[in-house]
Amino acid sequence: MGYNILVVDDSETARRFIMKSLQVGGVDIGEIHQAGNGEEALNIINNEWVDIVLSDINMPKMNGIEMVEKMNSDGLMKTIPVVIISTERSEARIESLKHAGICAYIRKPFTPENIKKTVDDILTVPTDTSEGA
Amino acid sequence: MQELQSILIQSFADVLEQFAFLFADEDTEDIEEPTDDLFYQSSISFSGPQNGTIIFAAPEGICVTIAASMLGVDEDEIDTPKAEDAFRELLNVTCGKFLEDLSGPQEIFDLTVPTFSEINYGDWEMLQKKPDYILLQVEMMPVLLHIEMPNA
Repeated sequence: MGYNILVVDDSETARRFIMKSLQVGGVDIGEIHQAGNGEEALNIINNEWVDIVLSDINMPKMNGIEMVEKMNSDGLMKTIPVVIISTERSEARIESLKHAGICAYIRKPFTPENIKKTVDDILTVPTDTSEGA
Repeated sequence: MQELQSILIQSFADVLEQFAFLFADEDTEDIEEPTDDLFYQSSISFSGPQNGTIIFAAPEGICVTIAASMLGVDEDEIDTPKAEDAFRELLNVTCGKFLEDLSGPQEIFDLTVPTFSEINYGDWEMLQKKPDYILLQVEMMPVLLHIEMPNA
């Protein structure tokens, strides 16, 4: 069963480019949801099962950081991994985002391979291949 | 200024290639004269260790080509809002890449939301004549880039 992915960006181009990259990269997709800002994203998360959120930072109404803070204050929502995909490039700011609770950060422009690796690293449950003592 | 322009050209070319699988070239000898009635112009400003503005302008036709390539759809599926959105996003990502190429990954910059306006052929000709505007060709069509950094 594929992952249910929520893509959050105020640019339709960026959302579609991310979705295309997920498909080209070979990510196992169940359903893809889209939101134009953090507020819309939270509404979707409240109503749909979402395995991972891929979000921009700078958006109108509610930006990506505010969205992560709201998610962190909710017992169920804070278990959903958030990956920020943004033009933000400062390592200092990326570190502070990680402290705020994001799982990973992808800089724009990115490749389908970047996205695939990041999503898989976060969502793939390691298989225990040991034979036990 | 020339060094800044060189960095900007490279950042734009890298982003265009990665985002739209298209190539920007400084060799403009074989460039075609645009027949478009409409041209797009977008600008984005940044503040931080250095302040400045990047301006990007292009004929509508090549903007549609770029948008279609970015989205992986046919050009006839690109309407004005989609072309405008792609145009802004391209400048937004170019600006982020330019600032990292210029200052490295440690520096913190704030970027504004890219502005967008439609300009006519007369405005386009005026921009083309300005000496500090960089002319590049994408798919044989002209695009213009400009960087303003007062304290650089």
